[in-house]
Amino acid sequence: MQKQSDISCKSCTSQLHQIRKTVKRACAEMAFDDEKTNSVVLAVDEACANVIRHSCNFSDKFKLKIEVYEEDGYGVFVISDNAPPISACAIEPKKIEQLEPGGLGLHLIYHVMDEVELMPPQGEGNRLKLSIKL
Amino acid sequence: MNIDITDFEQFKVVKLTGEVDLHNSREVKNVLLDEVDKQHHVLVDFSELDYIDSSGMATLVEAFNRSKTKQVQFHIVGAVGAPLQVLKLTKLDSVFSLLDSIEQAKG
Repeated sequence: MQKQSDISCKSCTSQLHQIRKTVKRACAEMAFDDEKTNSVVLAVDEACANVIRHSCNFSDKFKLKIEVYEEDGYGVFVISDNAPPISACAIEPKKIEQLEPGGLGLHLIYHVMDEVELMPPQGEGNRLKLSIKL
Repeated sequence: MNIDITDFEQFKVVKLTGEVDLHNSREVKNVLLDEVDKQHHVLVDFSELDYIDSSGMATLVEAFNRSKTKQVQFHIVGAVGAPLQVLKLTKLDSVFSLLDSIEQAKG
């Protein structure tokens, strides 16, 4: 596992810009082209926005951490938080015609990434692992 | 993110500059719905927009749907790069009217 970068911040929408900048830089280090970089930045941004919106209920009292690394031919983006745990069905993809408000982000995440996995938390909170082939 | 509103022919041009995300998409929504509710024809200028997320797209869909109810025109102008990619990923490029330039709106 080759660690690329990570960022820790408050669960606040004002942090999304900085998260995107960090992810974009990590994509450059993985030599992704512009189109793939745009897609991955979007997917990670949508995942973080969903955490802030649904897990943290727009409260900035929680913490968000994004770790980026390469593993077995994949670029991996792990988003962890210390918010109340969510159930696995909360991240199940829905058909685009069945989307409710806010569901479009999840659809985009599954469309862009090769693997989406809700991992066991390390202690409290949630850990979402997004992987894409290098 | 900056929102600038100008006039062009019978349109209100709503120019979005920078990044639209969950932090500021409500601001965009308020501006677009306000213009549509005033029954103004709207051009949303993407030419200097660097990024838009799904909350921004949902805002555009809501304003677009309202424009049909109000019977006003609603076009997106100058989408390139990441914003155009999001329009394609969401398949909304086939829903919205996309124009290359503001002048194109003259018909």
